[in-house]
Amino acid sequence: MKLYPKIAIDSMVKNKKLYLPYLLTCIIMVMMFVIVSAICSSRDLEYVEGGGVLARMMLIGMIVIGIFSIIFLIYTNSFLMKRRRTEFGLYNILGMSKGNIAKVLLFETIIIYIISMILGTISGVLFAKLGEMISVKLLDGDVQISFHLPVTAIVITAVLFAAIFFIIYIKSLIQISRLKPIELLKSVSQGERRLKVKWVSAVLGILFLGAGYYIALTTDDPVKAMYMFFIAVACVIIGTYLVFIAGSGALLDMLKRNKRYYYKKNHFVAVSSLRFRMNRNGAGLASICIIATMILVMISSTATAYIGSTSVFEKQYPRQFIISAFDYEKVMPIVNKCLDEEGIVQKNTLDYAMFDIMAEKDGDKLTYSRDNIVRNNSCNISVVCLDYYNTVENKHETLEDNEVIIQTLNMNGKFNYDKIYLENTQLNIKRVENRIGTNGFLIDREYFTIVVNDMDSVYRLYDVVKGFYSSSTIDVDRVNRFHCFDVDANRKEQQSIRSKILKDIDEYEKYNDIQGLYLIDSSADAYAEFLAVYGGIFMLGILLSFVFMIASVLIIYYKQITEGYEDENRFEILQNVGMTNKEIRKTINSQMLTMFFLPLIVAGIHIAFAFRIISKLLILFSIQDTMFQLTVTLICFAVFAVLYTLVYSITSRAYYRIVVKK
Amino acid sequence: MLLEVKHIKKVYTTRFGSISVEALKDVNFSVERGEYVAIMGESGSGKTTLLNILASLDRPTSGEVILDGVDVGKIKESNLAQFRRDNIGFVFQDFNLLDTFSVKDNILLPLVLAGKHHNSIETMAMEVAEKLGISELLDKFPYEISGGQKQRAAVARAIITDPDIILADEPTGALDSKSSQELLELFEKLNKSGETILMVTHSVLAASHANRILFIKDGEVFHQIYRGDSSDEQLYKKISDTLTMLASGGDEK
Repeated sequence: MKLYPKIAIDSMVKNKKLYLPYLLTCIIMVMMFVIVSAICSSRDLEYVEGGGVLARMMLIGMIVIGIFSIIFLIYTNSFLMKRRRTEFGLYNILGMSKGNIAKVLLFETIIIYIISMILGTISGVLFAKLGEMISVKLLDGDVQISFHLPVTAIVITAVLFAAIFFIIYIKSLIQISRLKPIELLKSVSQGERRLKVKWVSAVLGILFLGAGYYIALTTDDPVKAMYMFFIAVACVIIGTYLVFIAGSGALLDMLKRNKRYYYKKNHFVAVSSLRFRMNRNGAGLASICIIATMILVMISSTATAYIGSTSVFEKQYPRQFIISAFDYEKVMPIVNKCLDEEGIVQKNTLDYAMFDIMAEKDGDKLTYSRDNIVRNNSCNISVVCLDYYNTVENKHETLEDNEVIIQTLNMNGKFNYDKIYLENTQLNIKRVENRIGTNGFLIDREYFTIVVNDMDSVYRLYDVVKGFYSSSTIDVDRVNRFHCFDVDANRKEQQSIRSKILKDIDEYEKYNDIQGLYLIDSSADAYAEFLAVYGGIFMLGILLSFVFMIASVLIIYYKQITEGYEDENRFEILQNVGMTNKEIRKTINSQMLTMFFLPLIVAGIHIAFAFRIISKLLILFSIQDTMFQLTVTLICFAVFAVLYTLVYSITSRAYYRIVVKK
Repeated sequence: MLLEVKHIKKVYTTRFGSISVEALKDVNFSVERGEYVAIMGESGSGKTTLLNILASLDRPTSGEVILDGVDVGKIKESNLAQFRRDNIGFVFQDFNLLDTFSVKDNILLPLVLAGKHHNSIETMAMEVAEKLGISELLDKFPYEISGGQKQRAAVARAIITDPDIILADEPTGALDSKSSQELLELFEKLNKSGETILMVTHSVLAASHANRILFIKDGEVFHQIYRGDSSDEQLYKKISDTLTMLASGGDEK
């Protein structure tokens, strides 16, 4: 074997404790990228309804993972290089020129690239197939899955990671060329020199954090929230890094100055060694904190969107089928006949009527807008009957004649009357339910739903409105009759029943005339589309969280292991000077507690501040249940904290094993 | 008698017990309070093993070490570190200072570990530093000072707990001759002020500052020299002669 590859392989094998985790990181990053880009370019998905939307979302995920891979691999590699500088220094002193070292490094980089590409691609393709099957299943699709290699995905991955490893190589070269051999030899033992606390960056960091928090707390407009959110995220990321790096130094200096605290058995060693590695600690902690925040934001918002939208969906579809038509009297018999032919029994039938008009509001008086021109006091009114309300809201209300329940939107709870007048008709209000947000459309107009006791009342009110202004454009608005029902059939069958009904109506229309529009809607069809959107978001959220989770575990592991090797010597001295194993364990715990739970706590604070702007963003997905969002977020945080603690206990044990020798 | 070493034997065996090496065969000696003893021997003669056993960092295969009436071998594993901290001061060849601590904090380390109150210990650090001439170095970090200064800081750390005995393992091993000379003078001064010092070395110069020199060969105390009325120079000559004799005697065997 040629000399350089041999040295490269030898030194990697000798440093396997350092190289294995690094290699594993590379493999996992390649794997995740292959998975997402494979799903993104999958042909199977194209045939599933809504698959296009999912593919587009995966594209966003691909970009995010790509960027993250670049940052993260460079970060982990810098750990590695720091440890290996001594070795390169030795080569240099023994007569290897920097050029020769560069060659060894080149072979190392190529070897790592090849291994991680091969293993990453294989595992990635296998997982991608699995992921694809899950997505198709999730979309209730009916596509036979054929095995084919995602060539495009692999090529993209190969190119991207070649670029990443090239950057890493160049960065290592710059590092090697800059250092003198004697410094190369010393760099591990010296650690970081006495570091001055950078007060300016600490203050700057706090300002950035404050700005991010301020934006998150003051953005109200859901549409604006989208890009304001990105600005806030950028501010918080910069702020977190600055605060952790400069701020942690300042904090530790403060602790050091507090003699009563500092000169205590448990704090003495922990505080000083944390301070010693302030810069690196700060950067590592900030990364962990940001990753933790990302995971939490992603998981909590996508879970809220996914679970929450199921209930929104159920409101839209109180029953499996919704039939409505202008020409209700003609359409209904066709539907009934079709169902009879198929031998399908209608269950849980729900009949209701409603009409929508635009009106002008003056206190508690509503008047029909004769010219349909939007004015300052314009509002939308829906009149609907109680059956519908009870079904959708899952309630058992009863109403008298002329008694109504009012639901308002966008009124900031300002509607507080006990009577309401529609034209000249007085209606007694039993209850007002004020809602904040929108009904899924981004309207800023006020919106009333007037719930009346039965269908006759709907028609009566309609006649009131119509009677007053029969000469106007009222022909556009009319009472819509709805007929909803369930059937004993699965989703697939429901979809085919719907097609059958539509076909029968088409058939009928060939010989007869049906006036106006009709609506034959089945929740099964809508559900497929719905799952494609929300299921896709949710899956992407989980996938990305998984990647970030692995990343943070590896960062933590890296920190522990590299620091373990650095601290080995230090703890030996401490033992010689008379520190008992018990005290060492306590010191390690106190050190680790800060190291570990500081990022978690700060991530919690970030989430708390992000909560409001996220809830504004969720309005875009028709979700406005703050309590629900809070519950989901808290559950996500709890689950994350448990996992995090698990990683903590495992890695701290690894650290302890390195540091303490029997 | 401050320290009694009785029939110390140390055998190292490989993991499966097939090969065993006898590092110490049968070591006997004792040290009185206020003595300054040097232990000499060639590399591999078992000096460091002996010191590690005296320091309770290692346990003998058989035999007893009795420090101030306490049988070190009977101290429980979990109490050993504390025993070391309270009764023994250490000076190592490579200083063993912690980079993460300033010189002052390095000196204070054993006291903080002993749970002493921060008010009293700071004045103690001042006093010790004054005595060793490193007062102006207290706020520096180990990587900012010279080898001789580091070793003095290490000595300060060893004596701040007011130990029964100071154990020094090749204390001049990593120092240049001027720093070595200064350190040895410091040891002499400490000894005169009442400290008991036991030093392991193979430097004749270092040993010539002691009051008594023990020679170890093949795992046993082979010979000892008392200073008597000799000056450092005369003692130096005696030690050299003894070492020559030991070496030639070894050849004859």
